[in-house]
Amino acid sequence: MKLDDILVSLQQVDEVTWKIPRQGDMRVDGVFFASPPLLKLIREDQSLLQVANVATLPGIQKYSLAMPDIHWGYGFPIGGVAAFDVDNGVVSPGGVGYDINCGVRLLASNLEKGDVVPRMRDLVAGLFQNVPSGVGSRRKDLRLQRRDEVKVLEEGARWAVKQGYGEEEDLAAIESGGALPGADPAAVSDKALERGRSQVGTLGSGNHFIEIGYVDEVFDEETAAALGLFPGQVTVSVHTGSRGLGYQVCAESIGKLKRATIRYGFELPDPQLCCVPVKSPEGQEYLGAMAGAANFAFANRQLITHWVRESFAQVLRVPPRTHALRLIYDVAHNIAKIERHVIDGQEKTVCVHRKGATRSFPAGHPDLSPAYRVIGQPVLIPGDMGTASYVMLGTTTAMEKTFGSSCHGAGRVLSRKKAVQAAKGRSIQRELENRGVFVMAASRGTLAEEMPDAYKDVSQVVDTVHAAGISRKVARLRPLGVVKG
Amino acid sequence: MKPYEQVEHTADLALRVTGAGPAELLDHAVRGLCSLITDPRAWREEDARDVDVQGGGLEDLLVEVLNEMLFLLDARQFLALRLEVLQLDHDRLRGRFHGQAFAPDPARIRHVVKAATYHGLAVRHGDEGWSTVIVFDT
Repeated sequence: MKLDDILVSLQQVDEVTWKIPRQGDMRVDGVFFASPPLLKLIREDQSLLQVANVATLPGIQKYSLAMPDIHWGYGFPIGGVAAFDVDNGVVSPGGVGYDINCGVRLLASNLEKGDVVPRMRDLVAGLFQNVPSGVGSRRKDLRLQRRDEVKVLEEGARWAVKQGYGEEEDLAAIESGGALPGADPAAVSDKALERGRSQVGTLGSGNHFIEIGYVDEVFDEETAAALGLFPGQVTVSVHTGSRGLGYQVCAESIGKLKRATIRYGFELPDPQLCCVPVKSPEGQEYLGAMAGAANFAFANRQLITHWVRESFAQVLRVPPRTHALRLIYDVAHNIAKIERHVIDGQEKTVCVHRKGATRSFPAGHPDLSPAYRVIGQPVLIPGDMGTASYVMLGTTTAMEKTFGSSCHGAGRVLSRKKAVQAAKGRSIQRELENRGVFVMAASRGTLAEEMPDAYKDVSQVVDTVHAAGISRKVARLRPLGVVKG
Repeated sequence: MKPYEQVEHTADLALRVTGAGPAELLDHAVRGLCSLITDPRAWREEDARDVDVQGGGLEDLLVEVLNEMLFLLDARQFLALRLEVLQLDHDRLRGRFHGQAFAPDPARIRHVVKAATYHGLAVRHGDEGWSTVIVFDT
């Protein structure tokens, strides 16, 4: 298949929905969501070819999907969603990505914008000091033994809460309760354990961040109130994942599964799409290792949350109950999950791959914890560090159209190389300060690569998924202070 | 032809690598990845680490050796500057990374690279030697 043929064949389904009709070796159509300006950007890279490539994989159900923040990845596109029959479909480590369970969580405080703006430099500096970020960062007081790390892989965020990092009630506000079932530490190599051991509780670098913001606009007052969000309220977002442990699990799994793919006789358009039957020994081994890495990431965000709460208490000199910083929700962006979905009128068990996409389950879904079964699942969409982030809510339309999935962010528009070139001679830190955002970064290079110009307009992405009905807008957050790795 | 150069990729980093033969291609890929991570001129060859990887062909060995280099950097703070190839078969590479203990200093980091990928990976060889493009996850 060629990108040019795909671009010529595109069919518009409705205002924001586009179809890539089956062609070549595609087993199903491709479907993606884009407003006219986003479509223009999407057409400029290889991502739609990647949507078509994913559609060739065995056992794919309904469509190969892409969200409006789609961009060119490796193998699967970033912003891709694909579900495979657990009985005759596949699991693909490349469909999850290297940063397994990279995700974001949102905390909301009792504080109002005016309480923190005068202290923003101190707050950001406090976070920068207390949460290790950047290359090779370590938290010296948290050195795990191997047996502790195995517990982290098994128990995820619950391990952290048991150690005193956070509250029991935090767990009910995390996707899958902060621990995927079926984690198999024995499937995680010694090298992956070694790579992760000193990195638990660290933010990392690249697009990872901690952001202090405030609720700038509420679109759905009833839902916002149910979630405990109000205009002017101070929030904190934490975006990170499974660090080196996840990268190592993915890299080793791709090496192994690439050879297994050949044994199973699958012919693939791109070696990075290597995959094996979900129920094969290799598939189960990968899913066990992936769940362990996902749980490492849940624990990581839980530890960081604890230090965020401590930092606020230290800097503002108030007891933690004053700032409160309650966990609103925690979602995974890179993950494969076994879920039940209705396909052709029948409920089926499928392995849903979300690579740069967010689960978007509606109220009433049995996988949600009781409080969120009433409200619906918050879908957290971080934007670039100078603009805005959104709180959205899962919908029944997402269950019908996208295997309960929505977008995950703004999506890159400039390559890292071009972003660095565009930042030459500019102080990104000062530019952001002029926009009212105080930033501290471990590396100047990261700041350039991650500058606002490098990303699509998150509002357009969010308006598109809202129009498609696959999640709906609840509130917009504006940044005030950011720690970048 | 340049031993390695960075090429465009929206989300990630990519390198075009060339070599007179497979062993040189592997060494140039290691040097190229090092140049994405930091300025190689700022580091010295003071130490070495053995490397032994297996795979189903040169593409596999290339990705495996680069991921081994990233493991050593991230888990054991060793920066590989170049690769000395000791034995290269269809399915196995034994070699030695030459480099330096790596005190992670953000000021000296160009990019943080998570992994070398197989995306679109194909090694080509013709009259002008061997070449490939490797996409890295960042």
